[in-house]
Amino acid sequence: MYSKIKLGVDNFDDILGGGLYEGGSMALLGSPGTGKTTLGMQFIYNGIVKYNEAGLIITFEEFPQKLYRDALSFGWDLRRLEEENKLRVVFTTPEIFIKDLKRGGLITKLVSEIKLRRVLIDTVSNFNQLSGDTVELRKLYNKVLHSLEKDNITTILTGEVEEVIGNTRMLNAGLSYVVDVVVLLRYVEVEGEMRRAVLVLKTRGSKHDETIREYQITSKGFLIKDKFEKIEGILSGNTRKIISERMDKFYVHKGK
Amino acid sequence: MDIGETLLRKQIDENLLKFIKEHICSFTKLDIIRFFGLNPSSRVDAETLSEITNNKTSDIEIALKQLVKSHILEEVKVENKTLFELSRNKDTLDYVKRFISCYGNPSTRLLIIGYMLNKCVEKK
Repeated sequence: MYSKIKLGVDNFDDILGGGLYEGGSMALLGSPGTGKTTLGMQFIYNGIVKYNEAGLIITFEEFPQKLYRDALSFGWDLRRLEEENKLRVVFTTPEIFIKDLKRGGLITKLVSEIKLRRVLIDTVSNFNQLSGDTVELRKLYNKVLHSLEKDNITTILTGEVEEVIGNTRMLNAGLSYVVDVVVLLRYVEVEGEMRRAVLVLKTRGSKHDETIREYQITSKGFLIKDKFEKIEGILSGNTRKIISERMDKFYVHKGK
Repeated sequence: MDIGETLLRKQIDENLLKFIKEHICSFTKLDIIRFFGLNPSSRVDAETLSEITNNKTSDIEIALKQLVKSHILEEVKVENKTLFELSRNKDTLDYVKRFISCYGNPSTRLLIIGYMLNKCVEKK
């Protein structure tokens, strides 16, 4: 029996089919501001406070001090958790991180020091600095994931998507193939309003919710809402009411 | 004792002043300790620190060597790279944390900078 670990975010575990397999990996893809880092931090924070599982945040761009500040606005005191030895927020470079994955490196050290269980890597798009070759990048992603799987550590990797709305082009070639779960976060324009949509594209070895759900980032973090009703074209960015709705309106209008 | 030191003594305790005198005696070290104090689990090499703090790599390397010698930082070898991280020693963590907290106070920060400038002039 393979156990699943929960993100602890209401409804999000349900759309993933009950959570992530222990030791598995999830790519969170989205354009800037869609909340990739927030959801990642929530996964780490909930792991510590709800499930007693120590966490590690690897950040390549943002200094930890900024993450502490941002997390605190949701009421998540990461600095305190770090002082209590339940968390490490490590600023490093992709090159050093990859080298540090060998046995006896950072991960092994943290498994023994704080009983590390969850990792957030923010963001794998920085691996593009290491190689422009997609095959080489895919090898790097595999190296990272295998090193973490060895210790049964569950990982979320954030990745950037270029377009804010419309057709999506991933900047992280190959990532979607090597991870177990792929989640896409994106903006959608509905009747002159910017809203946010979440879609699970893939879950390896388990069923998931295939609907496109709306989500909000509230003062307490992610809030997954119902599926977008009566709207189509969300992924293409060309949203419109579904045809039955348009027909209904048309006939009501004509009838008048 | 100059006026700057006298004023600083009013804001911070003797032990912390000693820590500043002995270990944060240059602006390069100040930048390094501030970085590790604000980002205590970070693990970086000299080049990255040089980019982050906008100091010359050669100056950073000298300062890092001294901070490792005084057990404030630890040196970690990863393949051909030398990385630096804040010592997990409880006393060191406490001093660095208290220093960052004092440095966050604008009036204390000015006194620390003034004190260090005086020391630089004295050295010259």
